Amino acid sequence: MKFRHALGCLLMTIALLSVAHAQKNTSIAISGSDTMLSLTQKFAEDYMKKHPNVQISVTGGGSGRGISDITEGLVEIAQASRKIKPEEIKKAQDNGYDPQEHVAALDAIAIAVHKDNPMKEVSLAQLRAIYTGAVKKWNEIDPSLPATDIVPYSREANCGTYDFFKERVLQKADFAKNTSYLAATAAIVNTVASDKNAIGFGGVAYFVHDKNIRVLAVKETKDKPAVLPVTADGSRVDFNVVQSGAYPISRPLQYYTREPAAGDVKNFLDWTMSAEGQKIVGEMDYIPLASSDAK
Amino acid sequence: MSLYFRAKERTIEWLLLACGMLSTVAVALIFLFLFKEGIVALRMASPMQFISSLSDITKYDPATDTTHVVGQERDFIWQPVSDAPKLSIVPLMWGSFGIAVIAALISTICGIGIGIYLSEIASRRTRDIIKPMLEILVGIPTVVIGFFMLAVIAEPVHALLGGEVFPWLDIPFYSRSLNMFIGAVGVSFIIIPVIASLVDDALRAVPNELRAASLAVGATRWQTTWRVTLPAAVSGVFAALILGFGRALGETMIVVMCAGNAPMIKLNPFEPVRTMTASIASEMGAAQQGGLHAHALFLVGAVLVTLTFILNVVVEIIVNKYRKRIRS
Repeated sequence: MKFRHALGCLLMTIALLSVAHAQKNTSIAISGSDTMLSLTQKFAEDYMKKHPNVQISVTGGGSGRGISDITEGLVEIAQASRKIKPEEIKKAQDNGYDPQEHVAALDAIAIAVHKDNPMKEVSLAQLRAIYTGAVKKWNEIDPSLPATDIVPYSREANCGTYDFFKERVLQKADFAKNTSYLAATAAIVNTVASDKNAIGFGGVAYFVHDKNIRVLAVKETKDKPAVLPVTADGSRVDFNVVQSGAYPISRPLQYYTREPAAGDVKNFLDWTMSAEGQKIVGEMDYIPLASSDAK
Repeated sequence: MSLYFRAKERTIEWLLLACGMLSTVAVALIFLFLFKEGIVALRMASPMQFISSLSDITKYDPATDTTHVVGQERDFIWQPVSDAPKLSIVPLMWGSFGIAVIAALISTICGIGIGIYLSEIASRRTRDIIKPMLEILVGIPTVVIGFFMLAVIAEPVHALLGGEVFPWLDIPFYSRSLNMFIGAVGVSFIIIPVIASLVDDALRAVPNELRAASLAVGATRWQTTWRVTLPAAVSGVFAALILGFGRALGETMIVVMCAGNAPMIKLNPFEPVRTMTASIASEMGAAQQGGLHAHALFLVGAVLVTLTFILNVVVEIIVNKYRKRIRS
């Protein structure tokens, strides 16, 4: 499946390149993080409207896939919800590339449970306990919670959210054996919305519109205040707590280019970081860079 | 002139032979490739690592709100993206076989039933409606079936069997909506028609004289079907079942979408599982080429191909044996 997908992308890129060549247009291929997919698609759409001579194609596949695509020279830009790893940089260098990072937005990982679950807040250690299988039932976390099994959900191992959660929350420990891996964040939201014992995590943008889930406030340690990444009614993402770093599980979303950006690729990336681009970030429920970070 | 025709004949024969060899060569190359890549995994890590590995036992202390690693245990764990990759194939095989066995059970009952109905009972007109329908069912892309199970079937079944609809019908171990059973039901959708068609063909290949003789000595229609026609067609029926089982073992998209994707071993059929195919499909895209994870996935593929190969050989042997017994 994946191979066919990759082959398809390759053929499409080649086709686009040849078309672009004939019309003296530029084409930019982007692949990678599914978390960033809707944001990048919106970026591409708006940018192509303003610059009809630039053709941008966007595909998902996970951060790992995007980064592996730039190291192999298949695409111009990778979207990644995690940082590039040293061995990936080395692989790119072996292929004669020099990957560069461009932070475009921030994202917070929301933790959500079913609306009937009385839990309101969770500490990082409790999350770690749940996701490593140290606790199996809800009442082992807090006696006031039901005595039912915890059903943890995660994204697949090919996605940046998985890597980030594993590193930030699990401190590189392994996921519990009974963790179910789902292919998309939307699937996690739907499953948590329908399963009273479920707990799931993912990019906060996906968790703001569903009435059957509750987003948990997260505290760094027991004594620190619990911070909710959404507004009290759960309808909007709270940008301030993420930009200030008060919400403990947030991360930068970035684009990687094969080599120092130039020409149309540079124009596109500069535009995403401009006030106009950052406005789109907010509209798409991602978190704009704090103004000091935006260049 | 005759020389020309002979040359032409020869050329055509050679071309046809080449076509025939193509499948053989393809199979050989696939085997070669999978094993070549898979064996690298065995060299990169000790073979034991593909059976079981040590994993940390973590405890949570509510008083201090901390977690501690309190020890290690040997366990069957598939956790390839990790500082210490855990690559036990056992839970994946458990998932694949669990799904295939349950799907085969469901499909055997339904498939043989449909096959008997089509060949022995149905009128020509009913048959002309049902048979094309079965063929359409085979042709439905598996991703559509997976989506249907995920979006339409899984949750209501969970509500029904999990005690939400009827509190008295509360199966305590039906706790997760996506599980082995749901995956197996989805897989059944594609192997029921396969089995039904093959059983139908096998029964129709039984000479009518046998049926006539049975009816003539006073057997009822049901006795004829059950005691005479079905045993006469047993090799075909058996081949159908094993082919269905093999297809279930190799099915990918449906199990990715609805089997729950948790690589664990629980005897409860209503717990989620992850199959070998699902692991390959979901992880190959992100596994670094040439890395241990990618080679481990090739090894999983090699195991899968070997298993289906053995199944096919078994089918051949059994079918030949029975055919001889019936003839003699």
